[in-house]
Amino acid sequence: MNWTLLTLHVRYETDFVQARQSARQLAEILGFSDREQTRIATAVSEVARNALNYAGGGKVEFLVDGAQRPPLFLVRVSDRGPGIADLSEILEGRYKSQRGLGVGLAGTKRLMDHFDIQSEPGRGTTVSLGRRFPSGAAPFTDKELARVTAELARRPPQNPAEEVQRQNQDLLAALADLRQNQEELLRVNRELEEKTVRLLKTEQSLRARNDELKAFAYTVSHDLKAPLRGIAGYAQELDRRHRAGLSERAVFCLNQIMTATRNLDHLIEDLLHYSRLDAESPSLTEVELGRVVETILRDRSHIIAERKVEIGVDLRVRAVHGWERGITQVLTNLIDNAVKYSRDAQPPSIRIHASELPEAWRITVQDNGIGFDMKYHDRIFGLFNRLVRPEQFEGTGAGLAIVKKLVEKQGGRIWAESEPGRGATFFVELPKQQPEA
Amino acid sequence: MEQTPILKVGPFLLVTIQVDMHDRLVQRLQTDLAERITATGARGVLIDISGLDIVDSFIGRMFGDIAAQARILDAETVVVGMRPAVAITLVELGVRLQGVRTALNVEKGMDLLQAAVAGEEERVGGSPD
Repeated sequence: MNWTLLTLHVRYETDFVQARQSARQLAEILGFSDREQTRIATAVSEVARNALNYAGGGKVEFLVDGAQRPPLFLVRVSDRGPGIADLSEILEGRYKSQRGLGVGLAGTKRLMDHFDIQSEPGRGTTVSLGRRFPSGAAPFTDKELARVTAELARRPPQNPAEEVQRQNQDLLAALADLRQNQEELLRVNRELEEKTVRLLKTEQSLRARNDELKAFAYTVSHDLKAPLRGIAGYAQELDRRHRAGLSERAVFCLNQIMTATRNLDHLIEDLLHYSRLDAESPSLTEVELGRVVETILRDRSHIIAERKVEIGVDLRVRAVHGWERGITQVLTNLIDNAVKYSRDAQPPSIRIHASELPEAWRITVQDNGIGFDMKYHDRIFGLFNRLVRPEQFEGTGAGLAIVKKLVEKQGGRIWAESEPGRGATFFVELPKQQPEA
Repeated sequence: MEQTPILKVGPFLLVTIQVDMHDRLVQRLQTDLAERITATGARGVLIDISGLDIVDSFIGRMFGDIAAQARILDAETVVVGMRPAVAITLVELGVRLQGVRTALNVEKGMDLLQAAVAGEEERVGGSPD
């Protein structure tokens, strides 16, 4: 295992002086004798100078190879220069360079226990130098690494120039990081801007389309009502005044027409109701939940009695601060749904529960009806979305959509939990703090 | 620009290297010394490297160059105060300080220079006075 003690960048002459100084310091901290320190520092000096002179700079890493016994103090000098073409000649000392490279590399090899050079023309050079720890040195551990690092940090710089060099080293490293970060930031920022512009455009067109749709829904439902009233009126007239003259088949057709007209009328009413909700602004008052629930149940006492529905009311909240009409409508629709879908249960059971949370009031309406598959959870709150056939259960499919809209208008949320055949529970949460209109 | 101070002591120049030198500083010293030898007519140069931890092949070769250059300018060069560790390393490294005289310390170096200069004057035929 290799421990990295220090990494230096060599770009200027002063940097490589720093490199050999650090080599000496580290050697000293690691327990090498004065003579060994000089050897190691000299070897590093030779190699680091080459990196500077031939490759315009490089990196010097100081490591400890702990796998060796005794551990090896390793110095790795790498550059991205032109590489060395006639490596073997240089190492055998036959090469004589003008700047003294011949003696340098060959001599360096003699100074160290371990010497390895990797170089390919055009792909840079990496020289590894190693010196075995003095005999008797303990195996290298993390603890030892901590000691070396601390010791190195504690050493005061020998002169102001060295201090400046050290800071320069930090600066170079920080600068490289910074540049990379900045580039990344610029890229992300550009992306963000593009996305924001796209989003704004989408939002605008969505708003426009939404307004259009609302107006459309309102107009259509409104305009549909007039001809429908005509059809219903004539059908009624036929029924009341001319029934005697009609054949059996004609009476049947007339009944079908009147049923369809009624259904269509409900549908249009719901649609109108739904689209009108947008325009309505909630007015806030104290809403006594008990009274609201009681009124709704009283209006339905007939059907409740007829179907023998068991009703359980447990309100732990007396009153909430909210929009009375909205809350009443929400509860009405939820209770109507519960009554409707628990029709075939033996006996039907509906529980209405209210409780206070730290930030909100929660109202739940639970039934033991047919329930639904949770994978359709989001669909049931969509306008005119129905999971059941109209022959099974009457209705337009607008009820829950209206409920959802009303709840959201009050800043609340609604969701349901259910399983097919095991009833459904609808949760409504209304915030105590109304959002700004 | 950094510079290594050169002191004139009698007929000699004394250079005391106190900090680890980078290459250009050594080259600058070589140029400065040539100028000072010419300007002062010094007969000897004493380079005290007792403050140097490291002498690598480049610095070693520069001492050789300085000595050769001084000799052309009629001055002897003695390098003094080399640490034992530095000496051993230089030998292992294969650097021969050819043409460079060495002495243990400044005092012995002075003696060496005095003797060298005196010997030369004897050979030439003594002083004019």
